[in-house]
Amino acid sequence: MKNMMTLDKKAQATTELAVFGSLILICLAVLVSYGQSLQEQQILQQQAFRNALKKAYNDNAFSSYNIVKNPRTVNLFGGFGEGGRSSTSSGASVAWCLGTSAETSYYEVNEDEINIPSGSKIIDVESQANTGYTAQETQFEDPNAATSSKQATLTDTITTRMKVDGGSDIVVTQGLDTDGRYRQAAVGKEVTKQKVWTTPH
Amino acid sequence: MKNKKAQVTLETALVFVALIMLLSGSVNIWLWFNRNLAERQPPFNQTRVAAGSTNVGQWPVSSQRPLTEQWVFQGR
Repeated sequence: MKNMMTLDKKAQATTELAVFGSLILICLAVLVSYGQSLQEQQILQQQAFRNALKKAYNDNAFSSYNIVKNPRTVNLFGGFGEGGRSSTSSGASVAWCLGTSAETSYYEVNEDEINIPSGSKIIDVESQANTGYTAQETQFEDPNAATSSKQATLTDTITTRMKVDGGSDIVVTQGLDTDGRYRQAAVGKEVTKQKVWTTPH
Repeated sequence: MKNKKAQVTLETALVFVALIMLLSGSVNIWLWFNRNLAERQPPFNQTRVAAGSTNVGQWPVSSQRPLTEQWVFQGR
């Protein structure tokens, strides 16, 4: 009976640590990820307004500039070096013209700028993603030390579809580049992360 | 029985140290986000006139402070 009680107490402490430790880790990851989103949102708001200002001045027009981005964020449930994909957007419109004004519209989808044809109206933006992730873990032991290595390869493709009112959709396909940003030139690119460490015996 | 109790206390103490380190690192990352937000707004405000006259649509207006190991572990 005494032994059973002791075992119960040990199991209780371990279970509590396992449960609350995981909860704390999840809370921290959510907080860090939230901070990252706030930061991206502030950058986009500032950038959208400045870019709209520039376009309106250059085009002598009423310009609208929209930015759609998919920043990579912390992901506790992902594999080694995988991270997660989030989505954030912002837009601004500026009228700056002398005489007759034109009306121009631009979409910056991740790292690519798309000029929306005059007269076209975007009514919806949808995106689909295709992710491929492979990871490999190896350990080599000799009499002096154990050398471990982790390697992961990630390919991520996002297809953004801008629905045009009464016209054909504008489709932008982008791949994940080594700097963590998506661009058209990086479609099919593999991003590799590697870590090697030695533990002496 | 006494030894077993001590073992649980010891295990909890060890895990607690790791948790405190993790918490402190996360708080420092949050402070880094907070500092970045605060540091990005003044240059944006200060370049407003230039963005509408001499240097139209000036962007970017500030550089991001890098997140270093020193910042995460020591907070500076």
